[in-house]
Amino acid sequence: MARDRDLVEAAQRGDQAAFVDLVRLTGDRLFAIAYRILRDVDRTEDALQDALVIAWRDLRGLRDPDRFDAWMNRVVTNVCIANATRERRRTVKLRVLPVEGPAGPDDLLGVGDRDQLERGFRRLTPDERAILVLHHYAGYTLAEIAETLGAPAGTVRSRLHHAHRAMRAALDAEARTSTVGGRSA
Amino acid sequence: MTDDRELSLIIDRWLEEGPVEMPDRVIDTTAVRISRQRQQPAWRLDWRHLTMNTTYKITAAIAAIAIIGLIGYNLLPGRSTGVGGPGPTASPTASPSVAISEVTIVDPAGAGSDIPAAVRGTYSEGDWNALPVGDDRYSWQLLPAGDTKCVELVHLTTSCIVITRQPSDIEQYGPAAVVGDLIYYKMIIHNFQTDPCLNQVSVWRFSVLTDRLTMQQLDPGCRNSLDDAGFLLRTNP
Repeated sequence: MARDRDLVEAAQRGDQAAFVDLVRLTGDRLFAIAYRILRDVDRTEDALQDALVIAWRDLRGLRDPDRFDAWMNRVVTNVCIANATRERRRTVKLRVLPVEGPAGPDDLLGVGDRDQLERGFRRLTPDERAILVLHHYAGYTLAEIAETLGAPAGTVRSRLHHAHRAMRAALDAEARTSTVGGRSA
Repeated sequence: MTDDRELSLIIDRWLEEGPVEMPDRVIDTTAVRISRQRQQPAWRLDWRHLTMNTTYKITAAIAAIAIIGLIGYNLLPGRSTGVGGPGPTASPTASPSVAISEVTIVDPAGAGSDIPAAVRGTYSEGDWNALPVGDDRYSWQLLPAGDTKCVELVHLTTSCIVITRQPSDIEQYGPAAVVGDLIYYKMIIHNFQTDPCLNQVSVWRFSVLTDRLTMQQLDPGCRNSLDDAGFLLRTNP
């Protein structure tokens, strides 16, 4: 941790190599979060690069170097939300086609479930996607998500609730389809 | 029907799937990009946080409205005390060939955007203060604040602004008006020194992407606008 703090302080003084070292230390986690919000590797790479450049530019505004990780999460999440918002406007009429193929080894999630989860997730607003990922993947509490997004905790709770409802509806739709398919077969 | 616990488990499991390692090319590209990107000074970032304060925005908006009202009042045609000759014109050195047009004031903050509320009122465009600089159009309006040592500078421009290094000197910024397809931004600088050499300044470019106001430091992109300001201040006290 002390080493991380040293790196952050060096980067704040303009040491580019120190910043790159920080990126190496935190990059995988940030990439994983960004990918799960954006659901596309190319867009994730672009968004992450943008976020890292913004972080470098604004790093001197970080008053507590020990908060670097949380601060980076905030920068990356906000860039991803902005990216997803732009993309959503462009692809709002895009229809996701059902995936055909055998189920994976995980008996909890079938191919149909994955497809429906993907559809349900893409129907969420970018904020709701980020909240879902931060909560379920990064393990953030509602208070931590609220701080990351700069939104009231009540708003975060309500958006998470809406996201859960949408994902549940997607899964239940898949269950109904499977049942009907089973009966007709 | 999927219950809450099962749903959480399913989402957890689903989100676990997917790549978890950042490709090296991201680091390589980032290293190249940050080598060309200057870091913002801390005071600049503090100022940005300051502008997020609602009280500050409201205070600034009220102050700006008052100043715009004063400008509008002075520009009213035929404004006179009724004693002596005709009242002073808004543009003492105005050229007859340059028309003064009123423009519409917009309030993009009304839809809940991040952009500070625009000032309601009217602006004048194309008056004697308008200077073409490069591809941008500038309009300067000087407001004596009752103290010749403490003039206020109102900078109205389509793209570039100039700020001092003292954040407390900046009263307001934000989209102010629309003329045709150009969006004008406005800010007021207190304690503006008449000697441009005394103004420690940096220059920023505003741009609006959807509903977010972004700023980019330009150095020395529009530096000559300082000289224009100083010249105007000296020649039009």
